[in-house]
Amino acid sequence: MAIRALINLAQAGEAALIVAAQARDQAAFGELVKRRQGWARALLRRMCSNAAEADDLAQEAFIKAWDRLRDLETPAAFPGWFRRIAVTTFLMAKRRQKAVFAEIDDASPIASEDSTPEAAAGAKIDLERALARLSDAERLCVTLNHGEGLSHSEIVEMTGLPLGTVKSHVLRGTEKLRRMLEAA
Amino acid sequence: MSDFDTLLKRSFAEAHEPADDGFAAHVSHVVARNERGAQVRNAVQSCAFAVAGAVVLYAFYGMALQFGPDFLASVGFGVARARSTVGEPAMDMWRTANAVLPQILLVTGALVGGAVAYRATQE
Repeated sequence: MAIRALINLAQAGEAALIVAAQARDQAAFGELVKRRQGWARALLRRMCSNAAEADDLAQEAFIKAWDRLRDLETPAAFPGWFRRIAVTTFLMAKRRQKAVFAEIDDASPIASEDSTPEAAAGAKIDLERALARLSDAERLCVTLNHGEGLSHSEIVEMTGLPLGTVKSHVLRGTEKLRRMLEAA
Repeated sequence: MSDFDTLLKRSFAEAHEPADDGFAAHVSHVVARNERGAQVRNAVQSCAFAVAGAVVLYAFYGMALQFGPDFLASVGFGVARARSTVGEPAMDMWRTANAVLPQILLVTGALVGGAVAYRATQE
């Protein structure tokens, strides 16, 4: 609370919010959630392809983050630290569900429905729909690699999957996305 | 990096992020509820530690009453002989101490147990 008295939550930098939250300031943590929820939920929605489940997992990840905030060594490490919690939460949920890593074969186009020829020139794919057609493992690896900018070895460390498997999922997932886009 | 990889990265970067829709408030609510639950658990734990500490101390006291005189006698200090060597005022004090000792031990045990439990929950 002493730290809280020194900061204005709305104007505080993320580092200050994290330090205050580490001192068990719930309001500071609430502000942190408010600022990071868009990124966290988008990340989990891409991994899950189910918005409601993704939001539940995002909530679970934030609550775990609150419980473990004292383990965070520096505020600057928060994004990577939280991403790891989110991925672990996702993987645990998949294990609980005994997820079948099924291939999804859907030939409908994945280009944005409102895309025009002009927009197509600066091509932009309907990412959510395209990712939804990948298997869980491919979606996870493609999201972490292309979306979060993690290297293969970082994905290995985060997910516990073998390096060859990660490379294969990224390659196949990317190739599938390319084929789906070309088919569109 | 191929054009498609670039396109993919840009699509990720520009992808829609969901609006709040009360998500942050909901997480804050759950965190607050969990914290209240943790406080109640800590309080219960403190009480349990205090009671356990008092019980242990009381058990030691009971054992001391049971075996203490025999032990003292074995080392050459009989209680009866000790009583004969002290005066009546000292015997009164001894009896008073015997009467209040369980309560003193219980309170001390509770305080010590509570302090230890409180310290444990703060770490």
